[in-house]
Amino acid sequence: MDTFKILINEHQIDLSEDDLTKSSLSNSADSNEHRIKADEPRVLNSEPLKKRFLIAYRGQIYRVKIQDKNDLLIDQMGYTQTQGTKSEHIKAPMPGLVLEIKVKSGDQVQQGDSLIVLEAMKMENVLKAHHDGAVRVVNVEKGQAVDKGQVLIEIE
Amino acid sequence: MVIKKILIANRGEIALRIMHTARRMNISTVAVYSEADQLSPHVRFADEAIFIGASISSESYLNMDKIIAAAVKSGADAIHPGYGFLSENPLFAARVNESGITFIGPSAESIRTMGNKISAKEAAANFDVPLVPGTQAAIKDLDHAKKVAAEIGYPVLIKAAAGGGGKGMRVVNKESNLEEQMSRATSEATSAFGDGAVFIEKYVSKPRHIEIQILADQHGNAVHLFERECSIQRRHQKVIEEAPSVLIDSSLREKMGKAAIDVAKACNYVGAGTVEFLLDAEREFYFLEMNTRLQVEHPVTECITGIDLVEQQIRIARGEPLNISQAELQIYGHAIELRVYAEDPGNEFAPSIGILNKYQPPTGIGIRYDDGFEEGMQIPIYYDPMLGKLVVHAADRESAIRRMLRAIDGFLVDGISTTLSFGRFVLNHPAFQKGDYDTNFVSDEFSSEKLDAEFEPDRREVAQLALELYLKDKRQIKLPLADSSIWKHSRRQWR
Repeated sequence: MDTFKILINEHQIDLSEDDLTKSSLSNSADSNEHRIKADEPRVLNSEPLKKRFLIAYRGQIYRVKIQDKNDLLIDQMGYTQTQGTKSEHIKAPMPGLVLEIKVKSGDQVQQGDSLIVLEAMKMENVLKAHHDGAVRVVNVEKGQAVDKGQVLIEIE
Repeated sequence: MVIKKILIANRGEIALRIMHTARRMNISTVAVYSEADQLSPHVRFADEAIFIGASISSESYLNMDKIIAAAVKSGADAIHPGYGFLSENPLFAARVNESGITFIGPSAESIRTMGNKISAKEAAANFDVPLVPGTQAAIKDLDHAKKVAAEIGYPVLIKAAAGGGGKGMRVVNKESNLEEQMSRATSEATSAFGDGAVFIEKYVSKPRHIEIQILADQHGNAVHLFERECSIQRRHQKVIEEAPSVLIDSSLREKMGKAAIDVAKACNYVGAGTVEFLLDAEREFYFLEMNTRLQVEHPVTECITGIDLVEQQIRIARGEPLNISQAELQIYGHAIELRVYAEDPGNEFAPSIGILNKYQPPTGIGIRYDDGFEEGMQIPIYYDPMLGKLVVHAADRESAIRRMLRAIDGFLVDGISTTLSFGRFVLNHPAFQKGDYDTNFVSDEFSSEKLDAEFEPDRREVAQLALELYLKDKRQIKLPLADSSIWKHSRRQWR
């Protein structure tokens, strides 16, 4: 029996064809909860050739990507583990305004040290170092507006 | 006093909600808007709309000169401030009145008294309303803070004197954290309210946040419209509210209602207001603060009483005596509100910015959704990240919970994360269903892992469906001579 890796909104579920026969969806009679039509998943977009599906279910949207054993094999071959240096990029978790920068280039920081205070939607968020290191570069200035994902500080 | 035209000094859902009532009362509406809100629903719904400046609040919704100038220009005879922004700014209320325009709300003096938590406590104490132990004066410096905190005993709560909405508020569990939390609270208070003064009070453990809605007219009449239970909070900000509270029986309700009216009298209050209390594990209540405006969560009270609070605000502003007495007020059924925030509950409720690719709120009997958004709109970073308020009303609490769960399931949002998933977690939680929860619910009971687990069965079902679709398609591709009608039929099944 073939098994498949189903990637679904950052989660992974392994399924085999065998699991499908137990699915409550294809056999709703054994469900003890009375289902009305609105409760059933709706396929918003279906791309079986690309093994991609967009499905809405109970208020959530699920982006599904199916990987069969060939895909998994390709994944494994292309996958090389890199023993990267312990560098850390402090990124903005959300768009906002830099209120305060607590470190400068060359500073030694320890895990948990406050690095930068970011304001978004009237809340102040303190970004902290995830591990010890030295500040290589500070890419932003106080008062600057930043985008989500923008690298604010690099630590090595 | 006649009110023919109201300018709403606000945006989003609350601006729309006020306009709906105004229109029903045959009163014209004037919207104001910033650059970011040019295409917003509240601008299009209003009879007139006036541009007041840049997206950042200080240039627009917090700018008194521009708003008063807009009111004068449009010929509005009243201003409704909504909540947030200038709604609790005594200077604004005074300046509106000085311009010959009616401020729909209490007097500047009432706002000033209740807006400062220290004077608010003094006023309440004069009427023997119980208070949480704490400082009666603003904290001067760190040494003072350390001394006071040690006297009261940790944990303590640092609060902005001018605060509200959880801003400038920090819990401190031990002295070594005091300095950093003090400076954060002071800085947040300065940027949010322009006043960095903070004070310290005892942090009541297992507290329930219960508030009483009151209405007071200009003729000395006041009624209370029962309680709202607002204990489900994150960052000291409410997310789920309900009315009535399971904890409160009719005798406690009467006592708290009377205390709330006393607080209103203590500041000569006029209009709709909310008196917030903490209820401890022994069901003792302590006065927290009074919100001298319409609350975000006012719809739950409207549901259970059948009273339109905005209509009452306007009537009171017109000088009419209250048209309802305490004896006439009754509780009908149970109502629950879920605030739908553009936040990621799986990531410490961090703001979730993006475009509403899909936005289909639920409808149905007993479902009310107040919002100011539409599909395709971008969530602006300049303002509070609330999309709207999902409110349900049903005959009893159990049915209300069921109705809310159905409403959440029927609410489709894509493009951003929202607190809808959090709502489902809470309403499915046994502690919530039993009514046995307090303001620590989120820290005690909630985590991103538990949220994940809540959705695991759904994910599995969806994954199975996707795999079925894929395999079905694959089988058909392998059969080049397959009848096209079978192809169509099998595809249609899943539409």
